[in-house]
Amino acid sequence: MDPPEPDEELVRRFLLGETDAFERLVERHRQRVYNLCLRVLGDPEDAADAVQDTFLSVLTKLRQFRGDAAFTTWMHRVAVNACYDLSRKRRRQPLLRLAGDQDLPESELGTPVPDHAEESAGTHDAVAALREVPEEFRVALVLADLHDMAYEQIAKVLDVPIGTVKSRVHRGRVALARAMGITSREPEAPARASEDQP
Amino acid sequence: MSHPDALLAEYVDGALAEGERAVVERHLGSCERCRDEVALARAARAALASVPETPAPSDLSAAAIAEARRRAESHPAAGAPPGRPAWYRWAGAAAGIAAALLVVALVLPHVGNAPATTKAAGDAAAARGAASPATSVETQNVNYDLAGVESLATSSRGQEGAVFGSNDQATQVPVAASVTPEKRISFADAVTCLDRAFTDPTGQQAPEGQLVRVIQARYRGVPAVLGVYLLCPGAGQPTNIVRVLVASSGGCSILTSTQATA
Repeated sequence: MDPPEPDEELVRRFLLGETDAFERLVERHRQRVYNLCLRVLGDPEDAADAVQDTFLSVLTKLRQFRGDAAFTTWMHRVAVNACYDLSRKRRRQPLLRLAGDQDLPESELGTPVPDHAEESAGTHDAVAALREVPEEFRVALVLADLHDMAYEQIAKVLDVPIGTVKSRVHRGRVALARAMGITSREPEAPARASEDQP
Repeated sequence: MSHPDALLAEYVDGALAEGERAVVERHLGSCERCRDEVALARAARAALASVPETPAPSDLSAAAIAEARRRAESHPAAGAPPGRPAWYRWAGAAAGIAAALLVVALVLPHVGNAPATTKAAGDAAAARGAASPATSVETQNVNYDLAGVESLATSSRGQEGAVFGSNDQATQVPVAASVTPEKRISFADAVTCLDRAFTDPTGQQAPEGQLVRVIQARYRGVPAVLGVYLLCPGAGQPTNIVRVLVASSGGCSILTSTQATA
């Protein structure tokens, strides 16, 4: 069996006019981009919107892709930006949800809905708690711990220093654990706690 | 006391080099806050390790792929990769013009003549007549899929046997009994939503063509607005392309698009 065609080769073929190469590219990354958007946005419908925005942006901007970074790094950056855009749009109160929202099903109001019937209760806790992690930390956390992306690559995706990425991942993990109701096994001793007080 | 936050992530990963690990462990020996955080971070990392991947809906890339094809076919010089030889485009244009006479006979009398699913829709269709601009929103209790949207485009160009709002099970997903009808969308909001979704991000160009029909329905279960556009090749030539654009009415994002050419 032939090895899969590298992304960069598919990009090159698309830029030469082969629409099929673009189709293979987006089909190859659809699952990964969807899961990124789903965990960052926390809502299946929003995630679907963000994925579609991502691929349309990729289509539009592909000519600007210079190959300085790996295609996957570049595409993740486009996807993260699509998530940020959608998240901002949601915060601004969307155009068509102004009136009569009480008539809409819960899932259309952005209320978290279970997205995977087989998820265990513990997993659901983690997924639900992820929504309470501040967005910047959440994005870094999802890329690091759910996508197993190296810190160096995350730094390129987010265009921030690698130290910032590591710090965000750590802060994100701590925030997630607290959102899940996990407490440290080491209770804070009064004598120790007073050390940090001014 | 300063805390080595940037090192703690890799410490929890077990990825620190010996020297840095020793630095962190010395700090942990005297900092309860960091010891607590390390314990919490380990618990969170373990919890995330058990989160399964969620299967992506199969149609997520359909809009982008359709757009790629559309650009390749209709705007080879404007953003889409050049791939078709020049003769191909000229042949296509010639075929379009040749088909235009047939379209005059077939397309226009059919636009808006099909049965709509509500009285308002029927009234709107009747009022519209042949190829007049849309002025109201038809509400359909229909859950379209891609084949249904393609059928809508095809029927809009006057193909025999296909009608708007068809209940053909082969082209539409049956509506679940539990589906709650959405709040009626105003015509202005629906048009704004289509414009927002389909405005070219580079050229800031709204959807081309004459909007002859606006439908509020669902697309693959998502509340949606469907716009039917008639495109003219210009220079007084008759319409020979029908494009259907589908946007989510909730977020005004692209769900899909398709077109039919006579």
